[in-house]
Amino acid sequence: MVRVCFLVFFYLFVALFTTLSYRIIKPGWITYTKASSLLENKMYDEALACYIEAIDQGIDSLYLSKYLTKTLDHCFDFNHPTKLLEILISRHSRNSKSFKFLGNFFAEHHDYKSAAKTYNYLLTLFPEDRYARFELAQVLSRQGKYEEAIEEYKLLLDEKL
Amino acid sequence: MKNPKIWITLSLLFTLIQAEENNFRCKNRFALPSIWEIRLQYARTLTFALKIDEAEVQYKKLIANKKDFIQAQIDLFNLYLEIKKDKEALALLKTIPITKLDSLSVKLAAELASEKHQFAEAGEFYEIYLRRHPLDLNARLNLATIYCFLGDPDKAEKEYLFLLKKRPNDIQLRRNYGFFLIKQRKYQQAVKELKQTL
Repeated sequence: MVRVCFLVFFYLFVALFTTLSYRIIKPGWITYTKASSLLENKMYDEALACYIEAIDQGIDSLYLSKYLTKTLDHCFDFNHPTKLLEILISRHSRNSKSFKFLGNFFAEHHDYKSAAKTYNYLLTLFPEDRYARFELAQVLSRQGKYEEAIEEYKLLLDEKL
Repeated sequence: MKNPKIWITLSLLFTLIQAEENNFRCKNRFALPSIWEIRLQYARTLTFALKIDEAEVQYKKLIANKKDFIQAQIDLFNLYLEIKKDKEALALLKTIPITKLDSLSVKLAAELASEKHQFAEAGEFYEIYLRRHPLDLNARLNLATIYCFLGDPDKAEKEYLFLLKKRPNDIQLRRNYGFFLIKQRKYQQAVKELKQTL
């Protein structure tokens, strides 16, 4: 009996400890976990809001993209995924990682127009961000906008325009 | 649960490994690719934009500066094939490990080498291609012809027999085989084969 109680208390302690540590080190993980449980309970709009907040807090998980897609599939209020970008912009976010995540998310889902919009916005915030410029060039190329893509590549390679 | 300590340690270890795996996979998620990768994409975009000369310059720059960058060589080879610069394509082919080429490029290389009467290379390319696509009978027929040119009748006959097994009603193929047998002075067998084509 004592052993079982010890085990239960130990697990509770570990859970509490990790939650507290995450809250201190990475508060976004709490939001991410909250979003996941909201998704499990089919509260899609709330889950989406939480996922956006988690992205804005710089959370990067292998499953985030998957869950976000799953959530978007159920969010009938969101006619177009670019609303995600609009929400992020309206939050006055300056977290480049969030925009990169979103840009990649759009590109992975073949929404190149939104991806280009995201990277362009990111470049207005951080014009020296070479990763964003490279991704923008790739996305423009995939849209068939070769001339624009070439200009971006030239900027990246410091070649004369 | 006889020994809870082991279970606790194992579960903690499992959690740690999972977290590390996630961390490892996400670490370089937004890392900028190398300057070579950027130049390669640039060259590809120039190709798509039909700025062939500029694309060629970029590929050459890449190859000159990074000799082990096989992908650039493969891309340039494919570009040469597309714009019919056969001589350059064949010259470049000598530096590319052929096994790195995709099947279509290997087949095109074989056809090109055959066209330019470089039968030894053509044979080698067809062999590699047929290892990947053993049922491409047209390529196998070409290989049989190449073996004839290379003076290797045994291998050629083996290919012909394989083809005839797959396409027993192909008159043209049997006729070719008949003529091949005549060249090998196997007249009786040739007559037997050619009679079937009448």
